[in-house]
Amino acid sequence: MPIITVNNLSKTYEYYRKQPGFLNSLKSLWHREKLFTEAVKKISFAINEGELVGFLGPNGAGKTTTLKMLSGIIYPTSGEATVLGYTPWQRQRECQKQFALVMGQKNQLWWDLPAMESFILNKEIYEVPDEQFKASLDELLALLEIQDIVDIPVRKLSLGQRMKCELVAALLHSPKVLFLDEPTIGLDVVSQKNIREFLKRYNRDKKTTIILTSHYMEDVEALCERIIIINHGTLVYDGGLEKLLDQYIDKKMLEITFTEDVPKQTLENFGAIKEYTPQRVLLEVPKEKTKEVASKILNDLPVDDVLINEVPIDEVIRKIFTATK
Amino acid sequence: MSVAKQLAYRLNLLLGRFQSLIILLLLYFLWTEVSRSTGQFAGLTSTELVSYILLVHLLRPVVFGSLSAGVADEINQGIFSTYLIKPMSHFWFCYWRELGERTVLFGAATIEVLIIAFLIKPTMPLTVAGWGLVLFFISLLIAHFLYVLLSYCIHLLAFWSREATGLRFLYYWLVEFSSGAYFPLHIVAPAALLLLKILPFNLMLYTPVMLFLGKVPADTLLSIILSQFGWLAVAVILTAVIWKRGLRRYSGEGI
Repeated sequence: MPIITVNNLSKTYEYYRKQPGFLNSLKSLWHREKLFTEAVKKISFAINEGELVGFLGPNGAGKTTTLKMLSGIIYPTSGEATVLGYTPWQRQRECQKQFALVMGQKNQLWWDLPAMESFILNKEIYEVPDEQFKASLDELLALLEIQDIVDIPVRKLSLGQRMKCELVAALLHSPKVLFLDEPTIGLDVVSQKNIREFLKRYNRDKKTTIILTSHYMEDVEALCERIIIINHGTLVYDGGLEKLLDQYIDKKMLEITFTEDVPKQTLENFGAIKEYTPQRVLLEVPKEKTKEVASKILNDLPVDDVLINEVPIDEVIRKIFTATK
Repeated sequence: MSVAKQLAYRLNLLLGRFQSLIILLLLYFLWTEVSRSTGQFAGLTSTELVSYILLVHLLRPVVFGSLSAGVADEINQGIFSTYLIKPMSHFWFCYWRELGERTVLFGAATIEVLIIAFLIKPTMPLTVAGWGLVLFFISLLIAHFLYVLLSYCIHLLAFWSREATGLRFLYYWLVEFSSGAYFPLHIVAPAALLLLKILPFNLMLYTPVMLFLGKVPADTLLSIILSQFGWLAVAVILTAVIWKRGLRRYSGEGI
């Protein structure tokens, strides 16, 4: 039984065009050109309990709009959706108590006060019993290793520390569904890794259903078995990450180092040269020909070492984004 | 928490209070000067005038508020979205958040009025008692909620226009002017007074203060309280309608 269902969901934004300048501002008082953007076009999918789904797409693809509809912030133009059996935009308390939304770009904690104050406020809002609150708090603080920063005003914290506090605030009421909108944006590599490991563990232990949007493919690779790709408001892929890679990756990368200089022209016969120095080359070759090319190079050229790599996932995703334009 | 927030910025709070203290002293000297020769002005004795401005100063934080540090800005910046997903009423959240601020400001205003009373020793007549006092409190409570609701509505207009700052400024200026915060309203010309009485703002400060001073004719008491209730009902309905329609337009910008 799916915990989230989305059926033909669409959202059209209405806005006005306004030319710059004072005169045009006056003109716009009585005449404005109305424009429409279809941010999300009839998308449908279903997510089961405990799944951790990556929601991908370029900027403006409709990811955040979909998350906004699923968390009840905005109404759809048409279509249906349910989260835990409720229609999210009706904003029923019973539903709101069971999910959380964390936005990497929006601070939900009280800026001037220590994070602990926000945790206590959330405890009251979500009516978390004292014992459960204490247990969850201790566990989350320990997992994220932030016991000693919860008494410092939020504005004094680093971005990474703040994100960890945001996660604690969002998870204190043990939500069954968690929407994460770019939770690792702007974080350094170590903090990204910490957050990623935490999410993986949390999803495994608590069976919380998570939808994650991110521009960092490392996030997606490390966390999501299933991904949904949306571009220009339309759903373009829904399925396993492995399957996606199989389907879209038709090339492999050969990284070869030589014991002596090899001219570029010699290498051009083996595949597309991506990087070249006289003693090192990065070649892109068709997947099915990888073995053949590798053994030919080993035979014909003064090879020191050969590495066969997958095409980076970023490139695959970029390819899908451009293919679906 | 908003008490804690207020106290986190003590200097800001002190400066704000200093400003309102200056206004209080200014009004005090103005009205004692005006009523010096005859001992009264516009039907109020000089002691009643002093009581009026001291009461206004004391009740200001009870009725007027900063409405939750700018609900409109929160709507424009998308912070509003983070409240919308929580299992709580946004109105009551703002209300309680503001109540904390009000409590601090009311405490400060009380101390200020006590200091002034100690310094100038005005003969403050407690002219109202019994039922009059009950009516005063009812009127004050309605005034409080009337202000909160109308102010909330004005902020919710941000759903339609991001550039409603001018409108809000105009609104607050109108409220300050026509609520009796600076002068007892009945000193203006009859035609202007009629206009001020048509607007709901006179019910916010002028009415409760005059009730406290026992200056409301007995035969108009009922109609005054009823009109307060009437306006409150209008404000409640208006808020509900604006909220419902506004949310349909809200696009959660900024996230």
